[in-house]
Amino acid sequence: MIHRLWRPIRQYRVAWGFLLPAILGMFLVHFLPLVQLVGISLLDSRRTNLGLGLSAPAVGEGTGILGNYVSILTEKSDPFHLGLVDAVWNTILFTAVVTACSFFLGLLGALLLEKVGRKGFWRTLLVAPWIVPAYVVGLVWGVFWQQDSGVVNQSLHALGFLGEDRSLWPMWLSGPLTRWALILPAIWREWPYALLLFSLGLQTIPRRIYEAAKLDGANGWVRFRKITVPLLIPAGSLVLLHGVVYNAYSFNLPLMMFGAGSGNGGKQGDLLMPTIFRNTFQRWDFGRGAAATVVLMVGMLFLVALWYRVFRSDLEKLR
Amino acid sequence: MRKLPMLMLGVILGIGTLMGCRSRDTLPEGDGKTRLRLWAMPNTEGPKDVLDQILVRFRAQNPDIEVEVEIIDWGAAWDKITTAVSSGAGADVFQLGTTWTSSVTAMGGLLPLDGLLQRIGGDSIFVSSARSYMKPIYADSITSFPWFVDVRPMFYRTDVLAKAGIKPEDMFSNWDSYLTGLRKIKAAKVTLEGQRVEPLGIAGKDWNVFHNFYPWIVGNGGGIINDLGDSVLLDDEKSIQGVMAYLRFFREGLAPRAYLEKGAAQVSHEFDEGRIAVWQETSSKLVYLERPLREGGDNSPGARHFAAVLPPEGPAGRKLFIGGSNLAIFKSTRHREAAEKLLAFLTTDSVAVLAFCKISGFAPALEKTFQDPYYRENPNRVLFRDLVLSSKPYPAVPYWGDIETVILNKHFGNILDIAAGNQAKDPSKDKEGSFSEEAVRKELKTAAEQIRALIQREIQSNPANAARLARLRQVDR
Repeated sequence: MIHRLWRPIRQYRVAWGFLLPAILGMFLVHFLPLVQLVGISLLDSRRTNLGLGLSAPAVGEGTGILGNYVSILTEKSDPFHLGLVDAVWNTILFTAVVTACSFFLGLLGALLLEKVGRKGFWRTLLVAPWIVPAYVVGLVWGVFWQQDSGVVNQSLHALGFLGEDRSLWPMWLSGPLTRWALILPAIWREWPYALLLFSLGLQTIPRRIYEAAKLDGANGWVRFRKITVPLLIPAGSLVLLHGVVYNAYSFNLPLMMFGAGSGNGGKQGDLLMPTIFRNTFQRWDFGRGAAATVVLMVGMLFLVALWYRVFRSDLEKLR
Repeated sequence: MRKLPMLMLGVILGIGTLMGCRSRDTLPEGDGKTRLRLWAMPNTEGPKDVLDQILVRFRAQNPDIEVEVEIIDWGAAWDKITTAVSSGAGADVFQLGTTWTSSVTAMGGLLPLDGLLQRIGGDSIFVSSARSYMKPIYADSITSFPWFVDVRPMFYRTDVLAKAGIKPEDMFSNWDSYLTGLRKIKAAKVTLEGQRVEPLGIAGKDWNVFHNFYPWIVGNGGGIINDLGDSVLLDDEKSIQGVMAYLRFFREGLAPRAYLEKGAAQVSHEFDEGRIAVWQETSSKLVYLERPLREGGDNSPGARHFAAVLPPEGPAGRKLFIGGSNLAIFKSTRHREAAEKLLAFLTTDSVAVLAFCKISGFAPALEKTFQDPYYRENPNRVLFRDLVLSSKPYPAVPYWGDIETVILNKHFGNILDIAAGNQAKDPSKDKEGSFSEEAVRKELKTAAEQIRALIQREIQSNPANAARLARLRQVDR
């Protein structure tokens, strides 16, 4: 067994030598903190025993070793639990809508870019929102959404969608509309990234394939369905993966948009990361904060595994 | 041969890395002076210069002590202080938000100050409402001294009240007269300097969301938890009606609904710009409003026509929010005597306290400071002492921070979201985005249940706390 493992290492020892610092780095930076995170999630690590660090006692008697997990997932009187339930649903909706809209807008934008001249200029212009830091987007849109003075309601009023009585104008940062107040700026910031990836994907498709199909009498729609879509799957899969992971972990945008940086999005505007942050770091409740993070991480690992299973064959074609 | 330069490079990089990791716990001491580090938050403009200016006298009185002032941002302060407590590596003297004192004391990282308190003449030198955080409920010792307090007068537009025919002394007398006054302002449809003036400004879901509700809950005879911190009052009828009394301002249109989406700084600006007649804010607002034009003061309608007044009295009396900061010493200090001198100077030297409060606009915690003409002769500041004496501090229990930051701010934010909705046609149906008293009650009940569970867990998890609580209950009886 050892001999079988050792053989490829000996065979490619120079390559392994070059890889060793990276492997060590990955072990120290990624793997050890992950193990530590899981370890902390089993501890009763909180404000009162902060000084004990990893020597904090295991979760109390009667609740079992998984007490922190049970508490955050099932106990209705646990503030973490209630916040988590709202935040999970908000995050699922947020992630699904933002990823789907960014995907289709990015694809549409990339296809349109193929038809216009000065592609570089337009691409640079369109990618601009993506380079704005998320916390700046949160702050700026927090002002845009204001009921009485925000540019959104003012514009809707100027276009005739809203009447003169400002007190009847929609409130974007309170109540059910809060979800859209989060989703729209996130799409605004994210779709250019999808556009960029799809544009790069389109450039890798050889022109001669289209020309051959054209000679065979395939119309535009058939060429799109039979050539563009299959060959864009690798780029599309990356857009999906990035969208799901990035949006599920969204933090700066909701934190800065609500309550002048207090991050209080209310029942409809609270996402998972701000909830975990508040409960963990404003209360120093590391045990349950780590448990919530592990649950989120396992959920994300499941999604990434699903993604890999769905797109594996397409990704392997890239080799 | 090629190995040698690589080895040297490795050694240099290694030493560089280790030097980069060198602790900043201690300051160099080569000239025989004791060097102290003071951590303070930005309480004023140019906070470091202000403190250095105040410390000039201390340095003259104590030539053997050097003080290095470090300003830490409010957003990072909690992390930095609690990390310092648990690691034993921090400054010598540091500022502590009053509601943090119990938590940090419970972590066991603060130096007991009972001896120092005895030497300076006991706690009666501080105003009574600022004393509760000096020795938190579960603590055995005094662990901090009050430095300054954050109290919140009401600011009103003198010209608006005059135009609406309202006498301020009548309007701000009690909750009923206050409500009547606001309704009168609304009915008068006052327009001044080309702007329609709304009666009241209240901020929405920002950091202060719970502080704003609090006086209406306790003023109505309710509360959040009792003074011992072992039973929950939030779902009592008086507390619920206190919350409803506050929400009435939005529901009746006395405070614009749009303000539910604004933070305190934004609504404060609305007052300055002349768009609201009444606004409650921390006393430091006076520094801004009173600043003469030649010193960069404001010429806005708010600054030209304002006065400060005590908030109205509720059915259970005038019980107001009080915040502020204490000063404490880390147990890990190696300069106990010098640190105590510095802490005593900043908190009990009336010249130093007055100088700081004049610049920051906060009210002093040191009782004798109020005898200064600065407070006795100014019509707006004369009410500062009454504001301090009318305030009711939050219970000084270690878990108050958890209750406030996670449970109360969340649920009271949700309540403001409910208040923003249209009146529910059928209150028994919990329709998202609609307002009903039932929805508010439900939110308060959930918050109360969570606080109960949290208190139970806190007391159960710490047998020493349970024993102390039993003793305190006996004394209370």
